[in-house]
Amino acid sequence: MTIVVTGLGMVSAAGTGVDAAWQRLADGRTALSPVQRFDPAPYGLEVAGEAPHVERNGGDRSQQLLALAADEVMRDAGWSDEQRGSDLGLVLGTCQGSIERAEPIHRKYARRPHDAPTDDERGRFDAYRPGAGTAWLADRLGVGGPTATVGMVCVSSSVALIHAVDLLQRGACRRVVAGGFEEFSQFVFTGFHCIGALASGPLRPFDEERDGTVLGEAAVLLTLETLEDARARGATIYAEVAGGGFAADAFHMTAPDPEGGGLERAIRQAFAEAGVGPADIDYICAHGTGTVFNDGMETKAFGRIFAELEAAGRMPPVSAVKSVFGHTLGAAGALDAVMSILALRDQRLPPSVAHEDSITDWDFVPGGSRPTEGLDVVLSTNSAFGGNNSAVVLRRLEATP
Amino acid sequence: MSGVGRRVVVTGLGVTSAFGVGREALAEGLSSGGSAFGPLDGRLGQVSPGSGAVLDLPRKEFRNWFDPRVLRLSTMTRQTTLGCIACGALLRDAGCPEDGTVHPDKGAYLGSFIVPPDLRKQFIATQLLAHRPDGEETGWVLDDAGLATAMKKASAFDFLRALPNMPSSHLSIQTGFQGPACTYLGSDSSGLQAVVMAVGAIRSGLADAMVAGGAFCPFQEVHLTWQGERGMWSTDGSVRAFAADATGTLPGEGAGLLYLEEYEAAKARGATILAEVTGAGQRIGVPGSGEDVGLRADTLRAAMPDGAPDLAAPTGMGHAQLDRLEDEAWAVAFGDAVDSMAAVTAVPQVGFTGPATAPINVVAALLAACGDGAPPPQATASSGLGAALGRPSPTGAGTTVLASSFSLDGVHAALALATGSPE
Repeated sequence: MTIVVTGLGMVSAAGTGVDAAWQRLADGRTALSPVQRFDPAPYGLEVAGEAPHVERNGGDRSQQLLALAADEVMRDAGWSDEQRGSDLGLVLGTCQGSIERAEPIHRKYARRPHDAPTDDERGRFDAYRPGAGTAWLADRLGVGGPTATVGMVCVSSSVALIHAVDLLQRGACRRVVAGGFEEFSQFVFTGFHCIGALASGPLRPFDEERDGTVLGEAAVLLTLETLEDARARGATIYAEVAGGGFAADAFHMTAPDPEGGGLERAIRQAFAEAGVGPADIDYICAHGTGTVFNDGMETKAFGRIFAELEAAGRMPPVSAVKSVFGHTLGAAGALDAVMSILALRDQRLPPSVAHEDSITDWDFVPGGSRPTEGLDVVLSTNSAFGGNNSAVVLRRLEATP
Repeated sequence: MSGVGRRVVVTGLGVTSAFGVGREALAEGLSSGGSAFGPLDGRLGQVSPGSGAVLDLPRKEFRNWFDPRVLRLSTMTRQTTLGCIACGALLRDAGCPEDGTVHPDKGAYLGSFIVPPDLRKQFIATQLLAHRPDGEETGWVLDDAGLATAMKKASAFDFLRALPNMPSSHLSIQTGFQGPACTYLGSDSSGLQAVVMAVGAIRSGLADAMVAGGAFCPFQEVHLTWQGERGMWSTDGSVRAFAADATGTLPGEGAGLLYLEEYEAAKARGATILAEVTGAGQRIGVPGSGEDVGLRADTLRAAMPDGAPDLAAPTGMGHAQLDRLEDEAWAVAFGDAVDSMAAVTAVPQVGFTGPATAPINVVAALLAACGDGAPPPQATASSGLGAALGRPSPTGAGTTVLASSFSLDGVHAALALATGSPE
């Protein structure tokens, strides 16, 4: 059964809409900018990837982000009201859900835990539950089929995408909206600062000078259905989700397997499902957080999988889009998938911005994007604290066997 | 996804509850007819409901259930710990004890509910960083000196241990299972949802074996206070599932896990097959909508399209509104057949354990159907599931079991099983 993507929607540091994000990436201009939400000076840091034009009005920021992405993806997919209901599923990934609304609750209840909540606090608390975003969007979209909230930190939305494909292939529903969301918050910023994972300057994926990541925010959604259904209704078909895999390192709660064993297994699983091999991959959209550990681990995993191609001087280009959008945690996998799909559509390699001194001699597409030919199959990878790894193979429909 | 159609069997049960660790402790506790509720200590005792079902396990005994050289208590939240203890019991029950080897073809799915108990340490750490005088509306960190001081007191693990994927990630590390790992969030049904998704993972060929279930610890002042505000807690210190005079539920902590395997793989290693998974369903409902009962019934029918189970394993949390919805859903799905089926729920004895509730109930139902122990039959109503609780559980191979888990978030899940080996 061939599963295809028929709609895209997103909001990110590059603004609202898929086109804005793709244009920003294609131009090789970072969307990271000085932090607006709070004063980052005490942290000794400056930038983040906050979504502009999404006003902080005291409402639920996750819902605001999801609403924008949802409006776009449903317009793009063109599903009718009849195509919702029990045959429509929803799988979302997130790390901390509506964390920003809960920050005042943290402060108050850390001191006065016995206080009865006010009505406003009760609403904030309900919205903060990680499944609340999924429930809210399900209601908004008229979803009546299976739903799930995947809490797998940085692989959340790529695992959500894999789950969505699985639901369609098992016949649990006929259409799925899949993706992820993450809002920028001081809570998570502080946590990442605590563990020393934030960059002192630009996010430099796969660069010798990399020293950490930069947090962003986004909501990214894709619509999926069978090729048969998509063709029957004359839908625009972006790409096939040809295969997916996710695997655990089973190694350490924070440090990745330094050899990238889990990521390698996830990739090989995705290859097997897609019926492709390393030689079929035309571009790798890597996780590329800009941390020493992640980028080093990814490089080792890719190095083993593509060893023969590398030896023959045919290593596919590798890049990471986080230097433009920041690390969007629960939305990262979906964001990478959307950028990969647009790369397939436009035959254009996304760049690694702020990349100057490569850690290997591979082509990391430094600076700006560049046109290419024969870009048919993309491998998109993600990894997370806890040793979780995911891989998705996306294929241009014209290249589908 | 070449494995579509593969049969999935249950070959091990793992549980932590206030009755102790392992299936034997649960069976013994349930059979006694007594409850594990007791007064809560310290500040917890000052918060409604004042009592709950707590696992009293000395810290030194944790090492009986997982290798402290692999998993460090200092880096785990309470519910992660409960899950890992249950997992240790599960592996022994399944005949697959930890042996330090890795298994790329096996995975772990777990339902949890990270807010707020799991976040307690995270709160404390970030509160150190967030300290500010009352009344100030802006700013998070006071100043450079304040941040520097707070950073000395806050551990990086205080933030990391409460990340949402940590419960399942720890199970992966504990078991060496390098296949798919996932934590499902956000509803009391996410434990049974994790089991349903794990069944799908095996059926679709993603893995040959999965550890799946839920883990939860509710004992934190804010959580108890807020759930009390919602009218969740019993006002008379007892839980009466599906009873007309039920006043609410009581909190419990625990974890329930199933060892799920592809049938041929289980047979090949000579595993004891407890049951076959015959069906699974999950649906979403809009909270509070009039369709809720219908969608809940549809969830049950998705797991068991034909016939009716011999043994029901509903949540039965003792909350009047939620029990009524569950009772009505079963009536819509199975009609008069409810009047002849038996039912089992562990909640009146070990408390409501959030996402672990349904997996613990599945364990309890399989123990009952296997003749290993069950709560004494005691009807709490003259009809419906309350009456079903008063019928003795059928036992023996081929007993059909259906577990349900419905949540106010609108995430509903159901799992159908038939005891014994498929052959």
